[in-house]
Amino acid sequence: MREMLMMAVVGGGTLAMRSVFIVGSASLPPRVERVMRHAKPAILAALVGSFLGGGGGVSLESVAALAVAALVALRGGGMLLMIGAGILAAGLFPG
Amino acid sequence: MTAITARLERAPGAAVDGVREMMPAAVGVLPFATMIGVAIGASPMSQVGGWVAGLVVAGGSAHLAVTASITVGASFVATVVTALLINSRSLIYGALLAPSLRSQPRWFRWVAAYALVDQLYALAAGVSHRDDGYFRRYYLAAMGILWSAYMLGVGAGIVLGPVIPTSIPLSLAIPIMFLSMVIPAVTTRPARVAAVVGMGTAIVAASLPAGLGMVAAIVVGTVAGSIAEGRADA
Repeated sequence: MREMLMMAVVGGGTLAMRSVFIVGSASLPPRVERVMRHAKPAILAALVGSFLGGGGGVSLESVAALAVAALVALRGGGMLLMIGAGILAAGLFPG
Repeated sequence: MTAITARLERAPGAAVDGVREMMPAAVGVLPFATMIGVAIGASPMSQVGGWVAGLVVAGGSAHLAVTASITVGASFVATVVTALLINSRSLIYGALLAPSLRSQPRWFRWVAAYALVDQLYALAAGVSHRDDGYFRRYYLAAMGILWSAYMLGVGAGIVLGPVIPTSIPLSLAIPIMFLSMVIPAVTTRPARVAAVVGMGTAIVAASLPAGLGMVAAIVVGTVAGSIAEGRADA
């Protein structure tokens, strides 16, 4: 029930954000638009960080997984390769 | 007669263009969607609820963020705020696309707004100069193929997840997926500053209650990115 309500609020809020300009007639102030452009990298990186720092602090296992995954990505590897290599690396450093 | 023929030729043309041009992105979304399905299977959510959530939350990263928040037991407010902040970039997409949708029928503007994820925005921006009929059929076809692929992938992940042995730390797939989305997003210096500061703040502030750490990290990271951009301009 709680999850369903969460989804409904997120879905409703998202639709509101997407439709305010398309269905409504509002437009975004240029200053806000400029600042918002930096939200995407901050949010995605913060999601990585909150996982790293969550559950009682940074573990060697997850640092190893992310470091190896980053290395794979920098060498041009795709997401599935990153996940495979990262999880494999985590196995070498059991938490 | 010629008018009818011309109409028949034009109608599928737009839809075929939409499907063809979205195809690489639709195929590309499959592994991502499948991993989200695996994450849903491993979370305390109900499987059907987790799958349907994809249609409600309307965006893969937000879908994954909600799943991750439920997995780690984050509070209601923290989960909702995080997911909405992730989807908040569609505010910009909406603002940018709105002028070319002004003359479209109202029902289509609602549908277009509902489905406006990254990949659709990228394609729609490329055909926004076409006439309303073409744009509408193109958009609906591209949306249909992308969303079908996404929901199919999530479903496959939910079904396949339990087959994977529990000794494999699958939960690590979640931060790695976010990492795989960070890397293409940090091509400029301000973006790198926003990412590094956001991630650092999130690690340090992870123990704050109600997921406030996440909100703080997004705000601090975004502001840091803006300041870095200001410096570069000066």
